[in-house]
Amino acid sequence: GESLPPLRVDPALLGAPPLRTPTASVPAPVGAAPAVSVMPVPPQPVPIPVVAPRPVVAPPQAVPTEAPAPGVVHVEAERIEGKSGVETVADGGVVLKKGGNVLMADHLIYREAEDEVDATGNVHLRRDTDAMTGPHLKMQLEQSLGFFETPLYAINRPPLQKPGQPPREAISGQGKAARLDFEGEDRYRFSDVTYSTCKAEVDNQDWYAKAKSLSLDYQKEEGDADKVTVVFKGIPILYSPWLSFSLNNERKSGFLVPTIGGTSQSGMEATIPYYWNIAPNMDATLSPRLLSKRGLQAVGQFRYLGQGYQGEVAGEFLPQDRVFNGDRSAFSMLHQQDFGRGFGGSLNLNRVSDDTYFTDLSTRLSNIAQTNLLREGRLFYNGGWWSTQMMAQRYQVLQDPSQPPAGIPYDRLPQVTLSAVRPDLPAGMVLNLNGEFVKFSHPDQTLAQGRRTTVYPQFSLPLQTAAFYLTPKIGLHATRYDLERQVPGLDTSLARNVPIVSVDSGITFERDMQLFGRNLLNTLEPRLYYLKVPYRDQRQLPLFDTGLVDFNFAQIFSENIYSGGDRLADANQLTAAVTSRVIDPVTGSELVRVALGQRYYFSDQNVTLPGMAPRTGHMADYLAGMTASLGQGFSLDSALQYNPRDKQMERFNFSGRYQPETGKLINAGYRYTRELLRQIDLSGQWPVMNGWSAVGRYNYSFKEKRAIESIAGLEYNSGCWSTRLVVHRLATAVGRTSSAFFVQLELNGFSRLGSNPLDMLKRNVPGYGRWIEPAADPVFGAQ
Amino acid sequence: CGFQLRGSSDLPFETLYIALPESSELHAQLARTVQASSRTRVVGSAAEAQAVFAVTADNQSKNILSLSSAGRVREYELVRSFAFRVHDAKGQELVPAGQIVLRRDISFADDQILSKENEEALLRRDMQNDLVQQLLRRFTAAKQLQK
Repeated sequence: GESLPPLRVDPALLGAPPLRTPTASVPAPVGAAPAVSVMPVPPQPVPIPVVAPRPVVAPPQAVPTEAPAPGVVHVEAERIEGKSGVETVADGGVVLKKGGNVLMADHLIYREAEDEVDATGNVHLRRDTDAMTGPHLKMQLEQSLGFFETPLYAINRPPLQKPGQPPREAISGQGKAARLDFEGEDRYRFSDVTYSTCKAEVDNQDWYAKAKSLSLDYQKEEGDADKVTVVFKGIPILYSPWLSFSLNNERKSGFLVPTIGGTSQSGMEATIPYYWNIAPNMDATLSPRLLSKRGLQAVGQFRYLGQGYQGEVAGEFLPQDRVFNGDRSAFSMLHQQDFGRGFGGSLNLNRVSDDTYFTDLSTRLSNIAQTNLLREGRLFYNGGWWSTQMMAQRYQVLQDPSQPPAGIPYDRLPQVTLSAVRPDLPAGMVLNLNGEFVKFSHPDQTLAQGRRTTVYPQFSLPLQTAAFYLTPKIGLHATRYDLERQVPGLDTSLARNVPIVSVDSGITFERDMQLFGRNLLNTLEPRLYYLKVPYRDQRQLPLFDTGLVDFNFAQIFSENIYSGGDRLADANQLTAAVTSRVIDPVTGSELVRVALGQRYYFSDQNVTLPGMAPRTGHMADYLAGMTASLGQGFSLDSALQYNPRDKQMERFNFSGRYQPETGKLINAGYRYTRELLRQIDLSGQWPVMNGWSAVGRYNYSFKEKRAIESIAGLEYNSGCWSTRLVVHRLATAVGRTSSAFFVQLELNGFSRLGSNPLDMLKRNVPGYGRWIEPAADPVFGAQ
Repeated sequence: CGFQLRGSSDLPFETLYIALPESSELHAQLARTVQASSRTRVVGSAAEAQAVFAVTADNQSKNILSLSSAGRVREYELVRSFAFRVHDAKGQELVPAGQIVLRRDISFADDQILSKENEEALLRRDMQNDLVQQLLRRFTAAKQLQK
């Protein structure tokens, strides 16, 4: 399955650790009692410094220049009376300042011995970047002990900035509570509280979360809430008996956002994932998934990371699928290890219980479109000038019931490869040595199987200057087969020895050029490659792992038109290509690359694959390719293969992208392969109006006159919540389609609800960016 | 038309440490190419190197490019997204930090999976050759900028 990113917790839910510096402007809670504006300005402010005689907390040595001295209380009011050093009573437009606190009220009593304020009537408290208003506050200021009755509050703390990540905006959250208890420095406890990131008045917010109680501890950087309900447009949509979250973006165990959706194969579905933060380098996600037509599926994933190793294990189990009538399961495991000193290894195991597991149960195209599931282990060593690898590999083949049976690939149990380069031989000679031993086996008793051993030493003499290179090379490709179940009458022990000669050469020209007012570097790089491989009759050799390679720029400069070791094509040919690049001289980065290639055959082809006609004629297809990043978000990519003999296009691909900014994107592509493929692929994302944005993909096959994949979606962002509606339709077999819908509700700065179409959009709309990236990661939504 | 033979060029550092596992093929290939095409030496520890080459991201992916009408994969796109920096002992950048994205298309058929696996390896090698050449060009550009 797809990896779940580490659970991130939104520090802005109720703020990152408090800033100790008072901020100049703190927005008052919208909808709060307008304590500031209505309060009469005292006609003759009489500042009376009330000096606390014995500060409980020792004042710090350094006193900030702007802030009032710690421990010093300033009170302003229309009327102030009281006994000095005991109690101060202030009335009418009271303003009290102490440390990071600014308190305004109609009436206030300050008891010096306890350092306690008792404020009533339009009480407005500003503590650093937090603000709250209400009818009554009683609090010991230094110790931060006390309570606030029925406060409206607004919290605006900037999230923790992590190095290397783009700065994020603070999310201001606000709400009301029946009571707020101050439980010491940096500890708040709210009772019967609501919270929302919506800017509207507290009783008019599009969404809010309400909790029986909410505790925030900025020293432990933890928050806990009890009996949490999320209300959207007046409708409760989520309930949790408790929530525990981190205030500093650390991962923490807890439930993730439930997901909801529907597919044509399984009906409605819902998933409630639980995230388990086992250790700093280990986590797991366990998700029961309820499918209305089929039953309850258990989905689990475990990840780990260590010094020199990492991995992931995932499993799914659906007991008694009511449609399929049986148990169904899937398992996958990926492990990578660096043993050090050049040794390494990997394990990649995948298994599903039945052929239609993915088409029935997955909504992921990369799974659904898959026929062969890999099971493979590798061990390798890299000693600098030589390397070796041992691999054991087998595939599970998923047969599509509506299709003719797919061929089963040979198992490679094992394959051992060796590769060495010695560039330091006398006279500038270079030795390359490639070796391979494979034991191929196949379950079909009518197919040949056996061992193949190949050794291919090559000597080359590279001659190189800054502008020019010439590399003559000679090698002997030697292969031996030891076969079982060989076709009767043919030898079981076969050998093929082929000398291979080639000369590769190239020149690089450069010039300065001006384009669009920029100084650029332009190169011209012609290349010539001659290859001579004599013919050997290979019709007796089995085909274990060999097929024809796509005709492209990588292939025209390689020695064989076949990949795999069972066929070595005879060749007497000259390949010519010219590449031109436009390079930014400041960074050295490539802006444009254009390439043309062509091959001339001096002789006809003899070695073919069974059932394939040999090539005749002297001219190969023309190849042309172009990639360009034109700036302002424009990029183009195109490739073509033209057959001059029959005067027809063999292959033509074009794709263009325009992405002037995140959230504005258009991709357009056309892909053509003669007799096989003719498709257009359009995708994009664009703001429409008033917070609405459209997103979609349309992949249409002209050959079958049928849409292969289509996605249509709408996104809406109101500022404090957003929603996505996505419909997805995919061709799964001839005449069959699978469809799914996703509805997602994201409460900005809080969570994302609904099945997760973002994954799908990212995969299907290259370059897709969320229209408005949240300032912080969701509280308990996997990003 | 103004084209001239490319002149010889040096890298903006005399010794280089490649911060990659020694078992990685890229380590071996980059070391070979740097030493073959410049006077810069590749050394075995960051302490004795004038410059450290560090990979900040190296993501290989395989995206489905097109499907057959039976919903099977017809073409994949191989993508390698590579980001790097070259800095000295003080963390000062010697080559502007950069990103190189390489893409290759490969046709696919389920019944040819082994040969397509070999072909994919050929394309990945081609991409890595391309990557190493582009890296070297960026190192050279940084040297020319110094002049």
